Amino acid sequence: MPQKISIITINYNNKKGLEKTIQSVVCQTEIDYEFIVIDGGSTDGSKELLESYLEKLDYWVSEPDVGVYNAMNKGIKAATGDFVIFMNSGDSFYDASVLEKVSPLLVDDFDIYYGDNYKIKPHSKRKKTYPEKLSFSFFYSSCINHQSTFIRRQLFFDYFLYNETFKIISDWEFFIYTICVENRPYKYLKITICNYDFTGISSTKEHRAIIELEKQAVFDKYFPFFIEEYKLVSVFKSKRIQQLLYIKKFKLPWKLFKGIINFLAIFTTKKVNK
Amino acid sequence: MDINENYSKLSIITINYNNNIGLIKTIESVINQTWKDFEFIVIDGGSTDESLETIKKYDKYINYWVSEKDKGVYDAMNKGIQLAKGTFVNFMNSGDCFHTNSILEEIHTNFDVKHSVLFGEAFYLGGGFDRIEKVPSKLTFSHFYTYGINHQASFIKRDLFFKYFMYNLEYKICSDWEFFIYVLCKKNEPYKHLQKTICYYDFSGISAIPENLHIYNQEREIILKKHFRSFYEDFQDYNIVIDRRIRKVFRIKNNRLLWWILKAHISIFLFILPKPNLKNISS
Repeated sequence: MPQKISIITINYNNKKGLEKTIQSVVCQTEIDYEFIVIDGGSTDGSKELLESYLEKLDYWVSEPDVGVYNAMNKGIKAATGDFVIFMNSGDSFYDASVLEKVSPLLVDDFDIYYGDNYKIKPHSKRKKTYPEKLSFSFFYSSCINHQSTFIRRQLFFDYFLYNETFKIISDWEFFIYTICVENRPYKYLKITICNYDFTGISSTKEHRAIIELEKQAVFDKYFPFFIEEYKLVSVFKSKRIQQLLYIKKFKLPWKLFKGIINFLAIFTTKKVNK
Repeated sequence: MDINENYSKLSIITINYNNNIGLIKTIESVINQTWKDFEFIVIDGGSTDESLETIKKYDKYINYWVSEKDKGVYDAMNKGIQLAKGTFVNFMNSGDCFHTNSILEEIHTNFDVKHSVLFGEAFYLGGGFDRIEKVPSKLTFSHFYTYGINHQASFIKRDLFFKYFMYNLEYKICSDWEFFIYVLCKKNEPYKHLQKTICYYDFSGISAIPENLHIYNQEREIILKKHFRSFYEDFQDYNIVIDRRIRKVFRIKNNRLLWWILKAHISIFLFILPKPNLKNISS
C-alpha cells in the first residue's frame, strides 16, 4: 500500500524563505502528498503569501505559537499522512523529483527514513552524507538532518510529540529516543533530500551553549548508564587514538611504542581524569 | 518459627532440582533469619532424590511449595513469581544461602517503594576461587557489559515482572542478566546498592561445565543485540578503550607536554609505517 507523505512547513516572519520552500514543494513531480503550513502569526506578509497559494495548501494556520516545536506539533496533529517531513521555511527540496524517488521506497518495515542534504551557507554549499548504521556514538556528537528525514507519524503518538520545553534539540531527542531506546527500524536513503538553510535557528553560534545544556538533560533522563562511557568513547573516536590503534597493528613498532607510552606514563598521576 | 501470615514485604523463592544437600543448606539459612517478615516459596522441578522428603520435613516453614516437571530454572522462577505475594522477591536457589542469619534484619528497612532493585554483593564459592564479587555503587552499562549483578544478592520489586517481562525461557543462563540490564540500563528503574554481602553463591555448578561459558557469551550477545542495538558496536570499541595501555594514554593526554611528546611520536611512527586508510581502522 502506498504511504502518504505530509510535508509540514513552519514559518515565522520569513516570507522570502517561505516562498522558496513553497516553490520547491509545489513543483514536485509526485503529486500525492499533503502540504501543511504552520505560521506563527507573521507580520511580514507571509500570511498574504499563504493566501495566494490557498489551492496548494491542504491545511494552514497563522496564529502565535510558543516556539518552533510547538508549531511542528501543531503540524503533526493536523497531518493525516503516514509519514511526515519537516521542510522549514528557507529550506527546500533538493530537486523536483525527490518525492517521486522517495515515495516508492517507503514501506511498512521501517519507521524512519533519512537522506543526505546540502548545507547552504551565504557563500558556500556543502554536501552532507550520513552513515547507514546509526549508533549511539553517532548521535552523541551528531544527528540525522530533520529536513531530510521522513518519520512515521504514528511514532509521535506511540512515544511523544516534540518536547516544547527545549528550544533546539527536540528532534534530536526524538531520534535518539526512538532509535537507541525503542529500536525503531530505520533506513538510509542514498538520496539528497534537501537544501538546508544553515543560517537558521539551530546553526548560530550563540545557541551552542543551549544545545549542550539541552543534550545533557536528555542524557540524564534516558541514558544515565551510558554517559561516563561515552565520554571515553568520544575520545576513542578521535584521530590520534585511531592512529595509535593503527600502530598497534604492527608487532615491532607497537613494542617500541609501548615503551614510549610506559615511559611517559611514569610522569602522570595514577588517577584517570574523568 | 511458624508460617508468618504477614508477608507483605518479601518473598524468598528457592528453586531446586535433585540437589537435596544444597536444598537443606538453603532452607536452614532462610528459616534461621532473625527477621521473619517474609514468605517462603519452594519450586521443585520434580526431583527424584530425597528433596521431596526434605520439603515435607520443613513443610511448616514453607508458605507454598510445588514439585513437578518444568522447562528449566527460569520457568521455575517464573512460577515462583506468579505465586509470590511480597512487594520484593529474592531468589535463593538451592545450594546458595544468606551470608549471615541477621542479613535480612540489617536491610529490611529498604523494602519500600522508593527503589525497584536492591542489590548487594555475593561471596562466590567454588569454581577455583572464593571471593566477594564487588559491585560499584553507581551502576553503568559497561559494568553490565562485562559483569552484572548477582541474582541471589538482589531484591527485585515483583511489579517489574508484570510491567516489563518475566524471565525469558529461551535462555539457559542469562535471563536474569537480561532482566537487570533491561530494567536498569534501558528503563532506568531506581536502584540501590545495599553495601552488604548478602549471600554465598555456589559457583561450582555453573563453572564446572566448560560449555556454559560458550552459552553464556552467546546469550549475552543475543540479548545485547536485541535491546541495545545502537550501542553494541560502540562497546566493542569500549573494550579496547578500557585496555590498560590505552588508559595510560588517556592519562598522558591530560598532561599537555607529555601528550605533545606522544603525538610527535605517533607522527614519526606513522611516517615510517605504510600509509593507513584511517577510515577503516576502527573496524
